[in-house]
Amino acid sequence: MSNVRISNGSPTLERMEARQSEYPKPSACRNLFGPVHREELSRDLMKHRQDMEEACQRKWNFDFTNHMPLAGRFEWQAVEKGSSPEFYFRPPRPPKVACRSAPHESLDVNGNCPTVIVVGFQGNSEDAHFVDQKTDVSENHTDLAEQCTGQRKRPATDDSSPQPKRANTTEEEVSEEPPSASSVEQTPKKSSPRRRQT
Amino acid sequence: MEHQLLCCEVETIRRAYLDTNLLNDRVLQTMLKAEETCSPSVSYFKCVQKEILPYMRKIVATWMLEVCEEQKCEEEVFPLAMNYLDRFLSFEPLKKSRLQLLGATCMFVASKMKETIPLTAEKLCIYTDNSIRPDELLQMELFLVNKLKWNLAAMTPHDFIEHFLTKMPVAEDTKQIIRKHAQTFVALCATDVKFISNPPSMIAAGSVVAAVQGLHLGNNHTFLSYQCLTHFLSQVIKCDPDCLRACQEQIESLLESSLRQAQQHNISSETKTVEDEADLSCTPTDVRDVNI
Repeated sequence: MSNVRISNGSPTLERMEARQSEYPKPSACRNLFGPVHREELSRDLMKHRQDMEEACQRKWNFDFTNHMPLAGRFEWQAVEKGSSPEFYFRPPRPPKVACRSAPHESLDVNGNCPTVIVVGFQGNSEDAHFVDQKTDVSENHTDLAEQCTGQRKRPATDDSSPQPKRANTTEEEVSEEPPSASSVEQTPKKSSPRRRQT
Repeated sequence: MEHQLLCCEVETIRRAYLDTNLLNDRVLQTMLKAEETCSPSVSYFKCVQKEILPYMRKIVATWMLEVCEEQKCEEEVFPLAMNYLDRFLSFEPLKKSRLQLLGATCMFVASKMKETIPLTAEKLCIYTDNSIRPDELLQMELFLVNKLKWNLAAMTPHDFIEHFLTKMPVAEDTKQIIRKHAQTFVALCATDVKFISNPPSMIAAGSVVAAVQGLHLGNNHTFLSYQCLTHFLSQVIKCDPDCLRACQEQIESLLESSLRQAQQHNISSETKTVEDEADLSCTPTDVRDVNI
């Protein structure tokens, strides 16, 4: 069974072996160059972001903030709702719970702005429509909690040794485990395959 | 049985098989061309940066390596993150106090590029002793990828090592040892400023030669003899054999000085970082065996 998994070229075979905990060791947690000036940093980063947005607006002659086309070399045109790939309509992955503390709610944990995706635009036409990606983010919250606290890969063997085989465990049984801290830690990878189906 | 198979796959990390169709000469030639487009400027300390000095790169690199090691990242994550860091610093003057933020962000992006389960922003912030916050990291990420023009699939020496090993008429278990040691050298090189000027293919070739030399594999294997191997690899990457030898010697002396430092500062507080550096790949004894 074990030969299913790793290509023979994988360099990291040895690293499956027991190693120190996956949680940050205090010695590795260090501030290297002194305190960061928070306000200044946030100001500078905001400035960079504005510059980027302006550059994009110029490049595509499109006002991304107000979702309006501007005059320029590109001619923006609306498309029928069903005619573009499903990908553009699918709601985004909900933001991770642990990141709620971040004051910039405009970024999710992957650095994506929850912007409105413009599917198309056509003059004053009624059927010009935008898909607001901000809607519906509540689904699968538990999965996300799992993801946030989720284990890194290559679990140390001391974690996994007591239950190396899941052969007789059905998927349902696994997912019905209460979302206690320990089960969250042990089944983080369940979440990704399941989430993909949604 | 089918069920067992499924469970097994879910339990472990999925990795793609090495696709032998991609380990051919056409791909290698393309890689040799492509590596030039993702190379940092050699002189950014002089020409671009005002506050950042070479020794600071070493500090942040050592820390990044430690984090990658502790988080068991794929081997490629660290060299790729260093490529991002050097490229960013080649364009953009940065305050010293933000260098660690940049380093964390580079790991964040490199990990997403190379790993099935990437490092999270929260975890990386913990590693900075919470001197930065996740939202700052995410804003920085946007800035970084924009500065890199979203050109994130840079070549790493690891990509080349696989090509070299495929071409070498050597037993599979020997290849595995060479690979492991060469990868250790690659990580070591990524921490050192002197190697910024070397393209990944050169680092890869130099590391393979240094590994074979250090393991004394050339003694009873004609192909792996020093002359033969340097000649072969310099032809593969189309460089002068002398350049390759120079690179390999530089790698060996870097290893030597890292080990010496590790021994000298055995008790001082600095030991930790230096030793960890020699510890790359958690094969300290092997590394020592290589040269001493």
